[in-house]
This record gives sequence, structure tokens and C-alpha cells, in this order.
Amino acid sequence: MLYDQELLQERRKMYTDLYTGIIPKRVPISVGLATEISIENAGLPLAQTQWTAEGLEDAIENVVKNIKSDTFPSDVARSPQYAELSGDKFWNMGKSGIMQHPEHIYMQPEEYDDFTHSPYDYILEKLLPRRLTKLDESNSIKSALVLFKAITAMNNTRATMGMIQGKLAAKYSFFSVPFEQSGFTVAPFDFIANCLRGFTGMMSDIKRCPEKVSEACEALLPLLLKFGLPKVQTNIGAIFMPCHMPTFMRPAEFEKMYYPTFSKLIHAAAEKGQTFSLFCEDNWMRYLDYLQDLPQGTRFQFEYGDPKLAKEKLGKDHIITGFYPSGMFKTHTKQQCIDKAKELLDILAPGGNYYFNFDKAPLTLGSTNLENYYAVVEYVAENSTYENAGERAFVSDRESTIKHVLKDIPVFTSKYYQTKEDYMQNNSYPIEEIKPIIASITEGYETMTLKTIMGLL
Amino acid sequence: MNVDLKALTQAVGDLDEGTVAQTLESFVASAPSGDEAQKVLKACQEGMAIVGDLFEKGEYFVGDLIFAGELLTSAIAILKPVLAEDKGDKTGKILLATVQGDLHDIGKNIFGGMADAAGFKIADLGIDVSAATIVAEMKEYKPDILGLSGVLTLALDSMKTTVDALIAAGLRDKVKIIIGGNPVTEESCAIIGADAFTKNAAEGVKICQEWVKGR
Repeated sequence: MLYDQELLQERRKMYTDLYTGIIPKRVPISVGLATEISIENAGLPLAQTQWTAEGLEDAIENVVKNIKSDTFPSDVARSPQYAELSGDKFWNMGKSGIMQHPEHIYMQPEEYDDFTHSPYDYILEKLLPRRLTKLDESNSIKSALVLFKAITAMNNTRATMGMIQGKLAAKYSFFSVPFEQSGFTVAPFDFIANCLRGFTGMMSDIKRCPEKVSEACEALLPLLLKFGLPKVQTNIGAIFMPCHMPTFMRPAEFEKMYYPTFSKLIHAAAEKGQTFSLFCEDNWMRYLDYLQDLPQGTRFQFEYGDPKLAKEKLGKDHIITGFYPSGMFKTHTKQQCIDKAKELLDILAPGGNYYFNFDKAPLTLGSTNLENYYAVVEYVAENSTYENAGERAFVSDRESTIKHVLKDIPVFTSKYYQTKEDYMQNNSYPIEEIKPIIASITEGYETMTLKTIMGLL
Repeated sequence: MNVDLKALTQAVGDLDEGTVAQTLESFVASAPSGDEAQKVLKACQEGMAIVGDLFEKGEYFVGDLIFAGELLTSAIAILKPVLAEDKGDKTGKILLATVQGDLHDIGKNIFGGMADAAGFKIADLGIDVSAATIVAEMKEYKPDILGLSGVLTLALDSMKTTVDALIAAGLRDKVKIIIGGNPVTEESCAIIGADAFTKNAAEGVKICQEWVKGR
């Protein structure tokens, strides 16, 4: 079965309206669900199925077909194959069969200067060998082969998930943004905390060497912008960015060390016409004034906090979602779960600039109740029609909300990244006139390699 | 003794690492007795109570608790050469674990560090710990309190499995159970059958102190 064109058009229109500041026909619904739940629900072995993908498509369909979401109830693809083939210390499978990333420290505080000098060089030369235990620094052939296998495994995992999503999207007419218009990145501060210093190390660094932290964040900005920007920049697609550390810090520390490069990253993308979609982990209510300062159309998924306050501060020019406590599915009755959705719709839907999602995607079958999950989504799909659809929802002129910061962000450079110009200067080719074409294509591969490497981290 | 104990406690509470290190280094250089060193250590540990209070008031954040733990660890390292042997008069015994299926330990470690500073004896079983292991360690260690931690929602299931295993082994009545971590709520605490729940390490330590009070 292929797309129900009418339904798909309706969904496309709702999202185009939402993202361009127009009140849609009803509240759009984009909920998430961990693949692990579908696997468990089908009675398949969790760890083994993540390896073999046997029965995965049917398992996912059996859950997804019951969810009246407008987009695929998606998940980030975690790859146990990649983790095993590379020996990546970052990703570990627990006894339960769930992939997790426990805390590790990969960079010592005295290495900040080295990192700041060229973050991409440091990542390739120091971080990868420390994380990927199967790389062998004394044997470059072996290392190259390990990396090739590991990246192939990661790409295969993503392709498998992508194919299943594509098929099911066609069957159930889920709206999706083209791949070339979507991206992923992290804020510089979060990158250092997640990938280099660990939670504990970072919390000490902000007390002991705040200047080093800020310098490293600035140095990372060109790389993380390049990593995040999709091939085609639009305000329909988005760069997804999970934001981790702010609520663990004091507001003054956030303002000094987290916010400056976080804000520049988002404004720089907006200057290029690209929107950001942020997952604001934990309770961000004390940072709403900062978020207000981000470009029009920036999307925020909140985990906890006060939906009224968020709507009041961000409801006019930004798009809000989240707040629904998905833990309720397990602990409350169906009616209580539906009542909660109604309560949130009453607060967040008026005036548009809102789509429905939970605080986070449920992760395991035992910790949720799918019947309640389905019922809540169905309730929202049937009870959130706007009477003033088509009216303008954004209030400001978009341009006036964008800060021009691109001019202050240095162009990304690394000895491991050959630009078109480098190619033109340093290479000859038997057919001289096609050299510019080759230069452009080779730079495309450089960018693809950079995004692949960064995508492993 | 050349140390202003109150000022030292306050410096720990203020997370003033420079002052704490300087004070302790000059104290150690004065060749103090083991008992004096115990008093100085106690002053440092009391600083952790200030940290906990400021956290509860919303002036400090999780990052401050983590740094306070680091600060106390380095303080103990400086004092170690002059410390007398611990006489073992602890407030109570806590057995700690991140439950099966969950590999996260930051919250557990913060709680463990603060409970240790508050005078509890801590046995930490680490992460991804099965119910069977916890039952076995309960028999061995005989704690007053069992602390079960987890970040993922699946941890709630494992906490319930663990409590059920304690009931089956006839151990449930012998211990107070506190669960902690991002997913715990009043409802899940009731379903699991724990005695208390918290998302807040400082509050967790206070609950434990209440439990062992007046024993």
C-alpha cells in the first residue's frame, strides 16, 4: 500500500503551517517511541534482534500502526554492531539489552590547550584512539580496516532503520522532512562534557578553569556548525540538538560558559535559513528568558517545568512541545492519562506554535503501558482542531529575531580537511578543465567524512 | 592546632578549593596528632551539610554537589598521612546499587559521597546489579538502609524485582529502602514497595538520617 495522498497532504500542510508561523488545522502530533519497546512487545529477544534485525519490521509495524501520530514515532538508531566492531567504550549494552553510555573521561584537564588549538585534529588523533579500543595505533592498516568495518556497521544500522521507517511512512502516510534538510549537532559545552571530560570532570572544570572551558567552546563552534548544517537549509527541516548540562549548572555559569556558543550556533544556522529543534533535558524554566532570545521558529521540547510559563514566554515566536509526563502511562489509568493531555492542550494549543509530544520517548515495555500511550495520541488527534486555522501565529518579523554572528565565527579548518581551494592548489589532473568539478566533489567527500566521524561520537 | 575549624567548614561549604587545600596543607605540615586530624576531617565533612542546605534552597545545583564530592575527596587525600585509624563509630550502614539494566552512576555516587560525609558507612555494589546479588550482599553486609538508584525508566522495573526478591528472601522487614533517580515518583515508589523516594541527594541523606535517629 502506498501513501494516502490526501492524508499526507493534510499532514504536510499542518507542519508547513506550524513551522512558518501559521495556525494549522489541528495540533500536529510528533511522538517518539524507542525501538526496544516494539521488539519486546513482539516477544523477540532484545539484544539479538538489535544485532540481526530479524522480525524487526513487523515488530515495529505492530506498534506503529496503532499510533495516530502525524510523523513516524521515531527513535535514534543505536548500533550494537558498530560498538562491538570498533570497541567503542562510549556505548555499552547492559544486561537488559539496552544500549547506554556510562560516564568515561577521555581528556584530562591539562589537555584543553591542545584540544582548543584544533578540535577536529584532537578528535581524530586523540579521542578516537582512546574511545575505539580496537584501533591499533601501531598498525595503521589494521586501524583503517577497523574503522571501515565500524562505519559500515553504523551505516547499515541506520539504513535498516531508515528503510523500515520509509516503508511504514508510505503505508501509514506519515509526514517526514527530506533527509537532506535535517541535521544533528550538540552545543559546544555539551560536546566537551559528553565526549571528553564526562559529567564529573566538566563540573570541576567550570570551577577550576572556566576560561579554558570557554575557549574550547569557541574553538568547537566552526566544527559543530559544519557538522550540524544539512545539505539543504530550510525552515521546515531542523537541526536536532539534545541539550544536556544547563540545569546542572548555576545560572551564572550557564550564562558565562554554556549560552554564548550555544546561542551563536543557533543564530548562525538561522542566518543561513536553518531552524534548530532543541530537546531541553530536565527543567529549563530558569532559562526561558535566554531561550526567548533565540531566532523565531526555534523549537523546544521540554521535559519538566511549568507549561503556562513556557507558553507565556515563548508562545509568540517559538514552537513548544513536550511536558507530557510519559511515566504516567505506567502509573495512571487511561482516563487520567487522557485528562493530562487535555490539560496540556488547554494551556499550550491556543494561538498555535505548538505540537504534541511527550516529555521523552518511553524506553522499555515494562516501564510503559502502550494502551494508554495509544489512547492519549488518539485523543489529541481527535480533539485538537483549531477554529482559527490559517491565522498568523508568529508575531515578529523573522529577520529581526536573528543575530548576525556568522561573520564572527571563523571558517572551519583542519589539516585533515581538504577544501576545494586546497585541492586546486595542490593537485594536477590530466584533464585540467574539469579540476573545479573534481575539487568540489572531493570537498563533498571531506564533509561527508567529517559528518560520519562526528556522527559516531 | 593551627586551624580555624569553623572557617574550614565554611570554606568547604563555599566550595573554596584554594582555601581548603591551603588550610589542610599547612595543618598537615604542623605534624598534628591523629585525633586532631579527625577533628579537621569532621569540619570538612560538616561543610558538606552546608552544601546540601544550599542545594535544597536552590542556590547550589547538581554540579556543585559533584564538585563538593571532588573537594572532599581531595581534602581526605591531603589529610591521609596524618589521619588516625577510623574508630568505626558510624551513624548507620547503607548498601547502595544502581539496579540491573541501568549503567548510570553519577546520582548514586553523589548520594554515596554525601551520605559518607554525613557519617554513614557505605558499601557500593556499582552499576547493573542484579536482585540476586543485592539479596546476597544484604545477608553479608546487614545494612540499615538499602539505596537503589537508576536513571532509565526500566530501572523502576528492576527496583520492583529487587524489592520482591527481598520479600521472598524474608529480608524486607530488616531494612529501610530508599529509591533515587530521575524516573522515581510517589506512585512508582508505592508500586515498587520502597519506604521513600527522592530525586535529590541532599534530601535523600536527610531521610536516611531521620531513619537512624535515636536508634
